[in-house]
Amino acid sequence: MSITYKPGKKPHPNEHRLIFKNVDRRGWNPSIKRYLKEDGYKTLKKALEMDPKDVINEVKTSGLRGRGGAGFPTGIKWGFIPPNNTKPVYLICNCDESEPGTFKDRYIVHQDPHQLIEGMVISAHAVGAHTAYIYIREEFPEAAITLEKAIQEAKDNNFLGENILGSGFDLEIYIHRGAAAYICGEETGLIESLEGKRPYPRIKPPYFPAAIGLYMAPTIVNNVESLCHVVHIMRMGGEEYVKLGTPRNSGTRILCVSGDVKEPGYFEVEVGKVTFRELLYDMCGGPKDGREFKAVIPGGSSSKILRCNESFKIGRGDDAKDMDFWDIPLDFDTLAAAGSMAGSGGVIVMDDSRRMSWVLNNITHFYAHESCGQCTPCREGSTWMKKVSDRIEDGTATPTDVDTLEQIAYQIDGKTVCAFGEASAWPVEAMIDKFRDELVGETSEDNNFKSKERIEQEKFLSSV
Amino acid sequence: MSSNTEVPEVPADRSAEDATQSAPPTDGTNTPLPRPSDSAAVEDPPPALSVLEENIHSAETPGEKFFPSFAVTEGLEEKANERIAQYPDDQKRSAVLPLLHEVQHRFGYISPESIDWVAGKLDIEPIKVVEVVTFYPGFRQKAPGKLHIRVCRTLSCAMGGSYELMDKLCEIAQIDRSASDPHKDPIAISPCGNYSVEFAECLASCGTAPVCLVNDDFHEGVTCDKAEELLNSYQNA
Ligand SMILES: Cc1cc2nc3c(=O)[nH]c(=O)nc-3n(C[C@H](O)[C@H](O)[C@H](O)COP(=O)(O)O)c2cc1C
Ligand code: SF4
Ligand code: FES
Repeated sequence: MSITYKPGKKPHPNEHRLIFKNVDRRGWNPSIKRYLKEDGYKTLKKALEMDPKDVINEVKTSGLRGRGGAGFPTGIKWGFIPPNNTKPVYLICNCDESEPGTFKDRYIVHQDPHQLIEGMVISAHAVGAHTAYIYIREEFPEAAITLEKAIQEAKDNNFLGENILGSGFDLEIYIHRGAAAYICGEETGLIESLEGKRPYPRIKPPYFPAAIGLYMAPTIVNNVESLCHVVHIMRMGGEEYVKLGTPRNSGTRILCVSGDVKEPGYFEVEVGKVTFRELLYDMCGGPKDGREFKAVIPGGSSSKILRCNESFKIGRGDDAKDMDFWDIPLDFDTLAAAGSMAGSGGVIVMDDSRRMSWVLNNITHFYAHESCGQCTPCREGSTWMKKVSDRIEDGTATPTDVDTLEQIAYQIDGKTVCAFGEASAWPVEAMIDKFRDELVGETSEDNNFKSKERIEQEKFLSSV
Repeated sequence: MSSNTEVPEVPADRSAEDATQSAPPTDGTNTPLPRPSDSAAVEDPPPALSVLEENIHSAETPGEKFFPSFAVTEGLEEKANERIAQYPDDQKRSAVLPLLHEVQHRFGYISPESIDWVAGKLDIEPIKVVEVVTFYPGFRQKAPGKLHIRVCRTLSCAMGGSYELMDKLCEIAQIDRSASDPHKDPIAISPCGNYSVEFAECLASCGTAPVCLVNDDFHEGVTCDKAEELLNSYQNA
């Protein structure tokens, strides 16, 4: 059967659609009736007939790495549940999608909810969970309704509930809406939030969710896209799936491109098979007329920015080779070798019309707003970074402010309870590393900025 | 470097001022010391509201007339019980967010009475509800406008013109955002109460920037020249 898409939504020939096969597709709708027409829930039936251990092994064979940000191998994570566990096991789907630049889970939960539910039932069977939650960000009110409806449909068809398809396996899935806090995307913050508290992340160790998670019981947290991949892995078999993509970077992933390109959008590609040149020129139509590409944030705003005219040493020892920015494939390992990360797949592009001080300032405002406030370096540091970058942006900073900003960032990085510390510091460190001259160029030795507090303080100091 | 603490401005009372997300002041120790420029401060009468009262207080707004006052209806009870049943019997507290959403959806904001009601439903101290309400940007403690507009201000949308969109919306709806503060008081309301605006962080649709939410409806590609059209589309709502 030939698949057609809505006007302007036709996949690019470089794409390989698994997860997004039905997104913006003509004649598609989120109902179970439509999903069942194309072998929906068939894979579930097959998976339920398998031993949970075999399902986990299949996912291990597939090499699937989490699509939420950290890229941790999913099958291995599932294996971390303590073997002697006697508590209930929980599965949580992370649908907080709040990393700036990322917009993929949105389309899955709005348009293809049954794919996610099928993936969750298979995953719950694998890890032995009988209760699962979808933690969905508050700003997706419509998707929360769509998902609840889909859950009901799945129950009515015995794909959920008691004794699913006669297998003896029971599972309930519930929707839990967040309340507009970015930190609820961090898995332990999410768990605290689900427990009805402020989402203060827990320290690891000992609070690795797979051992001590929701209600102090073993909990597997996976991203929406990761859970959807499970359906395709079980349908194709791990051996087939691992052939997609490149070694250690298997499968497909959805790249979300936004910012200064002619045609922004989402692209599902085999991991590592597409370079920046192909993505930004061939698939996104190149820069806007009369503009040139300047810099790219490759994996959500927390990843380190790359300059488009840079080149990198990729590989170790004698194998190391020089690689131009444009030749970098967007996979986990090469982006890490280039000093950044594949993160959540959110590619934000800036052209030569952008002042980097302005970009930096927008990002520092985000992190200052979203720090949960639990640890001092992050809470104070994120606000300081905002204030110093405010000055650089509006031209009231001195050249030493740039050094100060850099030092603040390095004093957050690695010194906090959760990875938000790095998430807020890395963009600042990288921006200064890559664009120091431009930033310093916006400052002046003649500036003499004094904060309100400094002025107040000086009133008490006789010597000034 | 030793001057590090000096160059980024570190107000003495910053922890109270900027970290509202982390902890509301819990006692009087954050009261600013009298300053030479500020002799009147010494004679200031003690605040009429206790710290707790201040934290749960709902300021009156012109948007109030569009929302019913908080009352426990049968529908609300039923929905609340349904939500509570989603969690293990000994983990009722998990239903704080869902119950607060039910309240905000019906009554527009979280009032002191509704905090007590949620706490009672879940057998927890009201303060456990307060700490949640005051942390999450998704809960408001005063009535918004009849149409509450959340404009994404994060990078891709800002590049696409979301700040210009915000300015335009404020101009059309005659909203003054000058007193808004992203932490303490993000919402600004038009004098007629029909509209309110707020900046949101990345709404996960960066590819169709700039984007915004109007109540629960999502709109994409809303450049500032489309602001008027957007508001007009709600004229009969
Ligand atoms: C500050 C912060 C924010 C995060 N936000 C998200 C998010 O919005 N969505 C998500 O899936 N994972 C997010 N993560 C990653 C999660 O903690 C977790 O690693 C992920 O959900 C695991 O799923 P995966 O293994 O399938 O990738 C975030 C992590 C951090 C440190
Ligand atoms: S690093 Fe930041 S967000 Fe994470 S726990 Fe500490 S204060 Fe909270
Ligand atoms: S930046 Fe606005 S939706 Fe992501």
